[in-house]
Amino acid sequence: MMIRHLFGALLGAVVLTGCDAGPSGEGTGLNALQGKDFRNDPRAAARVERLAQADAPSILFKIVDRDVLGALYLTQRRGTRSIWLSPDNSMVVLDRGVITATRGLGWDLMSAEVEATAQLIQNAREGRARRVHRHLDGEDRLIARSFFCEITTRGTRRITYGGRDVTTHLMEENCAHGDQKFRNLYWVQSGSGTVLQSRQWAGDGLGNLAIRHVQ
Amino acid sequence: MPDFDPKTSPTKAPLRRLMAASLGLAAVFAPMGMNAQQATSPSISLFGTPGFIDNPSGELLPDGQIALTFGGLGGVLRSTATFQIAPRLIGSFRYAAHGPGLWDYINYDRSFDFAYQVLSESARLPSLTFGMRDFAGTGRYSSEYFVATKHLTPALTVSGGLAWGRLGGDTRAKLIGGDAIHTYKNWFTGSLGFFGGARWQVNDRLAVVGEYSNDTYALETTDYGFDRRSPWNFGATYQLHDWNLGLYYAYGSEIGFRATYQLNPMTPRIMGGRDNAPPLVAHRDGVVDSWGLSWTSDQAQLDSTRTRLTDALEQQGMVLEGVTLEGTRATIWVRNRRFGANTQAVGRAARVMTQVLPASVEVLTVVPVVNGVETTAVTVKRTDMETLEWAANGSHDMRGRAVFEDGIAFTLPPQDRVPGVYPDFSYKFSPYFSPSLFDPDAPIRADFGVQLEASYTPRPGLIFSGQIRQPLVGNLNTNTRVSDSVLPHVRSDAAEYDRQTGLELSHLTAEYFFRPRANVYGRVTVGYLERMYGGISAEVLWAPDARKFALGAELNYVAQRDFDVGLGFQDYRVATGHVSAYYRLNDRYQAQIDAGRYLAGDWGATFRVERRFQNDWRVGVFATLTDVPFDTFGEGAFDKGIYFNVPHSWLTGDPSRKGYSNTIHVISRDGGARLDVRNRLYDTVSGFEEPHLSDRWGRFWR
Repeated sequence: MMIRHLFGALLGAVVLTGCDAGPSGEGTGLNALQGKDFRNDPRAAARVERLAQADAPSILFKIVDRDVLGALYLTQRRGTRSIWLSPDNSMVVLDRGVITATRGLGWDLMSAEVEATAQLIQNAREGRARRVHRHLDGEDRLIARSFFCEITTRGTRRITYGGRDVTTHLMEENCAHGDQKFRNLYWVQSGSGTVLQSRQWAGDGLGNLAIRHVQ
Repeated sequence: MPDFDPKTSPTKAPLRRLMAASLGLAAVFAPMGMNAQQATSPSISLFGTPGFIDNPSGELLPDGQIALTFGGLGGVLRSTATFQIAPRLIGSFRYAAHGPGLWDYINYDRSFDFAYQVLSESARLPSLTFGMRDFAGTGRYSSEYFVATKHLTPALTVSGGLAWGRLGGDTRAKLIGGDAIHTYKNWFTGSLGFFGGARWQVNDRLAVVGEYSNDTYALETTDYGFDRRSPWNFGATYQLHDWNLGLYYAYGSEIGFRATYQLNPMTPRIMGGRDNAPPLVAHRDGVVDSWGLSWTSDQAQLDSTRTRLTDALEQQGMVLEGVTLEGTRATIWVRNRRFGANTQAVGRAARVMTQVLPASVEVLTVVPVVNGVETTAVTVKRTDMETLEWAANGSHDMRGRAVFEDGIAFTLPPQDRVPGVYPDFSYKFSPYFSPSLFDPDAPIRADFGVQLEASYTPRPGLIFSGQIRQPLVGNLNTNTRVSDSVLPHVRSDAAEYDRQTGLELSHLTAEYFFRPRANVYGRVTVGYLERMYGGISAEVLWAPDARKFALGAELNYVAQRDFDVGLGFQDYRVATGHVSAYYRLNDRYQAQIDAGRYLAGDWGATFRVERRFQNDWRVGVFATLTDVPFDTFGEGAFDKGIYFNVPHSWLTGDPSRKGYSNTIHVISRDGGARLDVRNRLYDTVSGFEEPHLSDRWGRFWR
């Protein structure tokens, strides 16, 4: 009897945890129920392994708040945009070193308009820029948020890149949208304008991402 | 500050090791502060609604919020699910137990509440809310009230109201016991009484509450000696992670406690999911060798294209059923087994096409296939795929350029079918959990067991499938309730089924799905349709493209199955069927009316209104009125209740097409009972049609 009443005590939880899979389940294919682990993607891993063997450019990538670190390899470059892939099939898209999208990380940055920022950063110039981020909300709607940013230089820094000391301009981008503020940092190679290292904010869920070009 | 030490640079070698170790960026997801707003939300009462201890306040929860509360005092335990149905409207479902001691109860009671905020709080005036507590159950807690609430300072909230019924100090005791039925005739009867409360938010986590309660607890005093000495109640609430906890001293004699967990369907575990990265669009510039059309007559190349498509789509959880190549355009037919948002499947399928198809192909059509029939086809231009993949407003622009057409115009030609997809045989062996909730004699009974499902699909649209179950442990068979219904026992013998069955044949059917004409879907099901009925069921659904409404009709002739849920039938036979209208009020609410003949031969209609979140969370209420008189129906007067669906992907963040759903009847009896046939058309196909495709278009590039 005791047990039965203990069950009663758990009702509140049971109301929302009960029962059979409902009508949203797939109708026919029972194969669908057998589901493999979709993240376990040997092809993506093999592809990245091939990229690594071919000495494709790579970046070290860190989701700062989750304290997760990984290596991503260049899988596609078109114009100023480069797409980087991880062995477990996550993706980061950079435009002249500025993050414009992520995929497979959760709370992904679906797209970003960063043209003005990218131009200033590339030329190590100070100025103002507007950027727009788009994220999916909980109901799969794209929510756009636009930020007003101020880009300033913090002088030159020497960092190690490809086994050599190189001189970089450390650029700081301070952005705000209402109460929300974030700060991005870019280490821009003198002369080439290449962003060798950066720390960029990618949204509420992802937080700060740290990126370092390895070679 | 920078996270890397700029003075050191990793070399390639450790990087490789790092990769080999495959730390998996997506493997670790920080727990999100999903309920950060709760600290400033109203406190929740022991009745599970915004309020103080027993009294309600006029406050609201964030839109869509669900609060699950468990708590009690003095021999009363209450479990409540409260839902912020609309920005100003709250509804609650409650199951309460009453008895002389902890875990010793003599009465179980279900009740429903709602509250509507008539006036919002302004700088000077309080908010004004009208509410009804227990308006449709036995009436044990029934009260109708107006309450005004004001935040005097951000931390100090005061509230006062007037009530009829129990909140006002007047127990409608005459309603309780026997077969008495609480109806609208009792609303607003008896004398008015005052109730009020106050809350002081000490800090982000801690709040102190106090109230003046007019509730006499007369029933509880009579039934088991509840000791009410004072109208003054006090307590403290504390926010601990996702839980809000309350501890109270009430009625001058009792200690009370409460725990509340809040969630919001609009806040999934992971926004956008942890689905892996999509395939990349392959660009054609620089590829010149396949621009010509000579490949269209090269059978070897066609075969290789088909194989590569099959392969790449399988990586995306899709089955390629067919492909047609016509020089500059290509059409693929796919079954989406992975993604809850069909838009996402379409987006990925189109990207796979860019990777595989020759450069001359510019027009890409994806036709999702459900149960062997074609649903809304989506056509995109390959050039748009190439230019908009990473464009800032690429999703919106893609939506503007995509063309939606009824799948009937894209019937898969037999010669273009991928060989080997049919016949298809599959089976699955799995555990199951089958609860029976809120029985008046026991709040929960349940069976755990194992089940075997199998299906054989010899050709598209024709599915033979069955399921057997063997309970291993449980107490469903301990229900001794014997139906006293004067109607044919079409549902009220459920306990008899539970008692007599062991190994059971849950269903064994042949289903045929077809498209008789444009915008129309059809289904015929024959066999053991559900646990209690077998026979034949036929349905058509007319779902005009991109409209807000759909119409359906269903006709069934069924026989009641034996209590052992085996192959035999009882003598009861009935023709039952409904005409259904589905209407989408806006992007949040949907209404449905099913009118026709029910299992007991009674005629009437079921009315449903549901909040339908675009991620497929659904919470709804229904009521069925038939020509069965209320006193013939028995306790409850007519069939009514709530239902919900929780998508798996919301809970886990992983892509899935499945969900948990349940229907809770206030009291399940024989009037207004409907056949429970599987794969009704509207729920099966509506997610593949407009406007649902556009609703979730943000997933196209996900």
